[in-house]
Amino acid sequence: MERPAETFKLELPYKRTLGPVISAFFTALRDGRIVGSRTARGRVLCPPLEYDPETGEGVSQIVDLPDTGTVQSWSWVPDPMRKHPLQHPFAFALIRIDGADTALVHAVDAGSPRAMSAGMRVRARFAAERKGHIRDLECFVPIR
Amino acid sequence: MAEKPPVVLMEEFISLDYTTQATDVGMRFAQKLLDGKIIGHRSRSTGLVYVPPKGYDPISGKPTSDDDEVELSDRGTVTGFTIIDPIQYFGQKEKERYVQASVRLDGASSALGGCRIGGIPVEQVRMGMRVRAVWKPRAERTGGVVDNWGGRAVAACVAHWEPTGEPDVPAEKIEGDLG
Repeated sequence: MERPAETFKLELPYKRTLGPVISAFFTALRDGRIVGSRTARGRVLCPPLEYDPETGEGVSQIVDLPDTGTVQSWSWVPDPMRKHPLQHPFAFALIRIDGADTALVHAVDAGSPRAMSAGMRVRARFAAERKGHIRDLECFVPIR
Repeated sequence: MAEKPPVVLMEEFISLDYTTQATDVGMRFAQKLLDGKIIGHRSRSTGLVYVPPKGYDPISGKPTSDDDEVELSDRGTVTGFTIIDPIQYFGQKEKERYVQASVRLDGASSALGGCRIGGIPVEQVRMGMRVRAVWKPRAERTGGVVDNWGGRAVAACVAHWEPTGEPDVPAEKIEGDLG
């Protein structure tokens, strides 16, 4: 006898207010730029945080950053799922944006895992239509 | 050109599809319901009777099996209830206020959740009230009867639970129940 199975769909639409720091980050992404936040001790966080993770102090200074960075580590995704940022094989990577001290998790559209390496240089590719969301930053691509 | 306003709000849509396969114990519970019977498992380690059966005793952690199966009465006591005023959100099927209750069947140690109460005005439902299952006709006990929680299986076979007219069970006899 075939074992019955049932598929459920769990859905949750929601809105959240962003606060001054994340608002600045998403506003910049919408405008095709990347920003970070600078802590009192001078470290630059990207993605920006509202607090210094080492001291807990508030962080309010926003700094402009370039659209280039370095892959610190990566993991290849051979079979992307529906909600993944790219619908063909890609890498999830920790990317340290130039001028930042922390790394951002994002997709790298490299074509093949052979094109990926820790230390490789990448540049942001922005979506053509942007609305103020992390997906405005479509992915990163290798700098050849 | 005027500068665009800053982004202050993020919209997100979380969607998760998942599939569960019926467990052996869930399938047997549903099959018995189709025959008009409600079963539970009596734990050998604690003596407690769980309805729907879980396949284990959550207190001792010991497994239970078909060997521990007991058939229960389709009568029980309301141990708790909620009056629901259905909000008319998209997809809502309920129009009128109704009651969902936890019913501890006679012979069970745990209560069956999500039992819809019928045959009595909503305001008159109370803890300790004695109820019995009003079974759907056999031919109507169909569709989605297997679920690993058991509540949907019961609702697919029992139309609602109605008062038996017996005297209420005093509150102190309900206190300390497993639920």
